[in-house]
Amino acid sequence: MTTRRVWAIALCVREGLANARAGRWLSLGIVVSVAWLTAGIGIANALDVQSLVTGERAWIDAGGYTFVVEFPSSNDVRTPLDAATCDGLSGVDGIDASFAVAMRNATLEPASAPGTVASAFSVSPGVFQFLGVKPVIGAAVILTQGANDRTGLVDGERTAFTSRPYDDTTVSEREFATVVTADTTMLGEQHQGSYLIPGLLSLGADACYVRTDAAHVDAVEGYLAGALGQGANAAVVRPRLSANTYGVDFATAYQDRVLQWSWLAGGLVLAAIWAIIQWMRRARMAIYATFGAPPRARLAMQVTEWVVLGGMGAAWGWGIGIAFSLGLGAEAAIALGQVTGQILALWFVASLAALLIGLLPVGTLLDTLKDRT
Amino acid sequence: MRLIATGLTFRYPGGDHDVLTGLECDIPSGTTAAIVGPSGSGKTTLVSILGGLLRPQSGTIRCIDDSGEAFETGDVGTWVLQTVSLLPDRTVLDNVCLGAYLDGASPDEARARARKALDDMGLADREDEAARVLSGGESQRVAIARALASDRPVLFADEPSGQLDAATTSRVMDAMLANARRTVVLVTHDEDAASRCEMVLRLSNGRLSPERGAGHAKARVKAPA
Repeated sequence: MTTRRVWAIALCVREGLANARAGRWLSLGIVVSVAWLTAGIGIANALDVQSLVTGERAWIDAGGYTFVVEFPSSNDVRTPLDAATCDGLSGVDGIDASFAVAMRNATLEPASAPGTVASAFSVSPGVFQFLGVKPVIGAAVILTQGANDRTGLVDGERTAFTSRPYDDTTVSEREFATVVTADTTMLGEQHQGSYLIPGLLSLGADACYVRTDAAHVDAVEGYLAGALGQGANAAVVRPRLSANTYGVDFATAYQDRVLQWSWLAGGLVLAAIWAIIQWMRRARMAIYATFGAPPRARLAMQVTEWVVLGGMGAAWGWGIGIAFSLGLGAEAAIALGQVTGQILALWFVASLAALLIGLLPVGTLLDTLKDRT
Repeated sequence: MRLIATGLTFRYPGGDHDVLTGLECDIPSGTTAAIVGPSGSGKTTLVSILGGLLRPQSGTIRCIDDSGEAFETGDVGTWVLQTVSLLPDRTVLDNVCLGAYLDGASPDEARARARKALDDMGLADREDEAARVLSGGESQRVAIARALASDRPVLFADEPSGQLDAATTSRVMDAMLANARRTVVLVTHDEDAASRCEMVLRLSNGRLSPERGAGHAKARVKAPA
């Protein structure tokens, strides 16, 4: 029976550390390469995701994930929707806010800004939650974009409004109301410059606005037609915005990001660099083998060296990635998540490759030492 | 440590002839054996096989200590190679310490042994220099110092004096042969170096024949067929 002498793991680790330290410029080059490759990939992903998030927010602000529900018109006669049902939809799981709207056959004009006549719409109370403004007790008029700029009225101001019917057969009414200014971009151009008057829509509504989110958009769309339909008369549900600047929905755009796989490409690049370096230095491992270092001892040395150099590079790259991502406008959560996730995945792939490279046979030791390969 | 080779046959991949043909030898524990022969006769190949660096196509090598326990030659041997075999990025001291680490020496003990070996080789003042800056002769002396710093019981030396002048060769041989308990297998063209060994074996046509000391050292050489 043959007795085998083992190489102590402490010796292997010590040699691996010493080789990492002794590598000087090559070691520094490896650290710098790992740092900038990981940082670059982290930054690219952080900015890519930030761009998507920013675009999605702009899209949501413009009315994304918002449905407009109405009955189809027949001979310019449209079946009214039940405004209370519409308003109550905000209590349904997946629906963020909803309100009903009906066009008034009248115009409105603030007394303090003569000549600023615009169409008036009645809206259900859910409009406050929908627009993200504080509800007002008593009479109120919501100034949409345009009306706000034109009249010079400010939020919370109480002023008189004059209502004039289109048919001009009835007498104008004058009433005091509290001014509420809001960003109404998400309602679409048809409401820009008009006045919204919150109240109970006892005669029904022309349309119901429903806002949901990416996770519930399909379920809510399917739910709305039945929820607001009346017997066999199904309501028509259409997205407020039919398309966005990306041509696809943001969830799909996020899932289809090409850069999300950059950790794999980066890991393979580092693996290739490491493989080339190990091949160029194969005589070194052959020297250890000459002195009886078994494959697992050589593996431990190489992995130790990789962990030190690759670890230092990855840590440095993480710092660079976070700093540059934040500096280039990424939000902290996105920068942290993307940079950390990409670098961890990349480092895992490269480390796995380093492990496999360390398992490769060094060839005939005599040939290696004599460079006969 | 006794080295016994039986029926060694070796041919390089793609080669058209056997470098070694049914070679046998028995080198007793503590013996210094020189392997001599013309260039290309397979001396380096033989010592590489004896030391476990190459595997023969057939035949066995046994390495047995005085108590009869068998070892892998790679685990009990240390080397001085014909080619430069130093870790170029590491210091001279680090390279020599490696020899002592193989025996399980602590870092302090390894450094002490390494410094003594470097002193024996006249390189005490070079210990902090990177091995890559050394000349060929200095590198060879560092490799020898590494072997001397090790307590391994077998030393395989392939042309250790190839890059040394006569005076240095004498000093190196003194150091290499000083340990009476160590089995030394020396490949050399240097007749003077070979003459200092207890046993001289000539390699020719893939077989070993005793030139001197075989009887005294109990080396058995298979007769040509």
